[in-house]
Amino acid sequence: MKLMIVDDSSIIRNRIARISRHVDLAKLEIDIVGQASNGKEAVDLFVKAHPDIVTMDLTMPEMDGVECTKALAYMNPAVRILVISALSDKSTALKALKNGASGFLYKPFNDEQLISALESLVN
Amino acid sequence: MSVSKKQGLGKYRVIVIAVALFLVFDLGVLILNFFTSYQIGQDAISINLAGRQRMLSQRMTKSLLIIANDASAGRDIGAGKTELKKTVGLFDSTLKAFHTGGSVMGGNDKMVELNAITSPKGLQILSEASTIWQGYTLATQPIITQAEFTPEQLTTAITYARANNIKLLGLMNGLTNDLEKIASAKAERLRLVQTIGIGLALLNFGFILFKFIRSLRRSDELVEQAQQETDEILATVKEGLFLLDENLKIGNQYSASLRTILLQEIKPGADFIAILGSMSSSETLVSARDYIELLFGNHVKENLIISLNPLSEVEVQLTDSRGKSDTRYLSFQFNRVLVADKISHLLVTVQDVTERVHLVTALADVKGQSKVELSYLQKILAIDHEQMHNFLALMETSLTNINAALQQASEHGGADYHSIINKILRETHTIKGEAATLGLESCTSNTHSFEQEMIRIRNLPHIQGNDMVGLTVRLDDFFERLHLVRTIMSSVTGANVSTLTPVAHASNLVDDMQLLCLSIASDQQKQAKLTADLAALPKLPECLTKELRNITIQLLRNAVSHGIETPDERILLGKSPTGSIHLSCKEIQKDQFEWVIRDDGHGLDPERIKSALLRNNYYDQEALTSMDTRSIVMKIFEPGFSTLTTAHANAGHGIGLDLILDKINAIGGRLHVKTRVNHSTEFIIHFALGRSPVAQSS
Repeated sequence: MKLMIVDDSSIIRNRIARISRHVDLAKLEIDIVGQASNGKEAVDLFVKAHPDIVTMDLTMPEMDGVECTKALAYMNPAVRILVISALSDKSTALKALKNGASGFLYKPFNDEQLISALESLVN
Repeated sequence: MSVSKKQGLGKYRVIVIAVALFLVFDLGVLILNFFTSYQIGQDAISINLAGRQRMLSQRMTKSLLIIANDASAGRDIGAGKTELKKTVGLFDSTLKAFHTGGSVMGGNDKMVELNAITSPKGLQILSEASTIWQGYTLATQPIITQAEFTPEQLTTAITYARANNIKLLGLMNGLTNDLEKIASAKAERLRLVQTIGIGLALLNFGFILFKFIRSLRRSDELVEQAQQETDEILATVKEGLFLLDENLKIGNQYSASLRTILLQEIKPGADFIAILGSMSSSETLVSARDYIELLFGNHVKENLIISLNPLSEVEVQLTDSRGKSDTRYLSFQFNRVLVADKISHLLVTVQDVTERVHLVTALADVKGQSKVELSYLQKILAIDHEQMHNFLALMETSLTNINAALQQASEHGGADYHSIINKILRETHTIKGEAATLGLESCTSNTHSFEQEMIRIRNLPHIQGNDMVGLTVRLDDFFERLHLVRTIMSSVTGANVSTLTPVAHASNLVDDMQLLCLSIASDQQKQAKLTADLAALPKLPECLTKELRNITIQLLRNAVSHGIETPDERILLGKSPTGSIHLSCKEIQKDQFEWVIRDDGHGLDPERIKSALLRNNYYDQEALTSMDTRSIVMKIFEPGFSTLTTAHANAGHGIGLDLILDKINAIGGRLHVKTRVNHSTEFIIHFALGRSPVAQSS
């Protein structure tokens, strides 16, 4: 499974990358193929790296998470996108899900929560 | 939930076998029937031809006699000969066919197939008939074949025919009877076979019916039992349970609790969104619809969107049958129901979580309360004990005064509520000032909100006694807090606080005022510093010091809030960013004192005061034009006056300066105000020791 991480915070990106390399996840054979800090970068990277799963922040500069989700799902309807956001406004998250995302995880999250979400996403 | 096809065949296996047997029986009977019918058909031909042989035996004899008769009368014997030839030929070929089987001319001049006789009796008859027939053919041969025959030959033939005619008839009759008996036996057998076949078929049918009805009844019983169990579950379960289809319609079955929880009748097939719409906001409705639609879609993982459920704890307005509306909190949980790996429905679980929500809120309140109490404790421990005692005594006096005023308001309908409220406001303001001086933030903010409530009531067009009721409750709360602080104090210091008499310590006054000055200034993003020269203070009696302290608190509050500008403004005006306030007490003559508080702020601007008076409708433009500057400035001491457009805890309510005037009057003092716009304001109080009513009374 090829994973792409999209988040404007490098701290969050590194954290997701670190947890994704967690030993339990080795069974899922997740291979991080790229990290993007905004929607536009994510779209460019998506075309090159063809990830199977994507973690997606919602509030980002250039192109936000909802638009980016829409674009990625249009390019590959089979891609599984996990929205990770600190939004208190649930309706934006619902919008991302309506536009092709498969799941949602609240920020802040702990290691177990992210692992369990990724497992659900892959299975 | 899916039903296996293999299991289904097993269930119907017996019935399938029974039906197959039924078909086999029917087919067997049919084949047997067909075969026997064919045989009976063959027998009918044989019977028919055997009967014909009887008739032919007579016609042959008759032909011989006709020939003899025609010959003796000298008539043509041709017709007789032809008849004889035909009948003898037919008889002969039929008899042979009875022996060996084969084709023979039937009754309707068509060839028919005749079976050979096989019955013993038939064979015996045939054998006897053949012997007789052999002589018959020999005797008739010359008559048939020769054109001219002798009268002896004819006589021989007639004699033979006469002798054997009846015998032959009898034999053919016997053959016919035998054949008929055989056919009748076959018909009997056919009937038996048919009866047995139909009997078996009926038996089979009965078995099928019995089996089918029994299994039908059993499955009906199971269905009924399952239905009953479902009904029992749905009637007992506390949660509201129902299935939701893709069109967001409620299913046919739902738990009885659903009605109790939603406080309305639910009909099977009812529109869930419409029901939700009757109790919650339109935003909730939009989110709920989106969420449910997502769950019906395939691309979303159910367990990864639970946290987004907009109905997990939704506030709803429910109206009961008597029309009483109530705010409740409901929790709707949605679970996909899969049939053959397809999402057929959502199972919805509804719970009334109002109690839980209230409990959580109450817990938060308790936590907050504990925090407040802890902060009280911290503050109290930080404050000098004597100062705290003094504050508590002052608070008790003021609260008692407020209580008396409120009683006065409730006892005398039509009392002058305005003056009562102003009186209460002055007392409150004193408490607030002292609390702020001691840094008791919680007490300051409580007093502030009490003041706001008073001001709200004061601004009502028609004040009534009832409007004051809420204040009594809040006053009780103050008394409780007072008691709480005293309890904390006594447990900390071990002294009975309530018995201590208030002591005003002049030495603390400067420290307290400096602290208050810094606190108010930082609240308003200003910078101010207080300096003091209170050399004459020790000469004053305690009771007077206490009043002067209260007056100073209000004037200081006023100076920082209204006088001192923000650091930016001050820099623009070419001043130091930190404002300075100076407090002094001098004995100007024997027992004559001057108490001054001076700030270097922007002074009392008559134009600002004028516009505030206009804004609050104190005076109209005309009245203001006729006033001199001094009169206008002195209007700041009118009850309720304020130049600030918004109130904060330190100033802006229009309470304070009128209170100061009251207090100055109480100590028999006189107030002077000196001001220069953008330069300074000075409040100067002159008082004499012997003349102070407060001093005299103490």
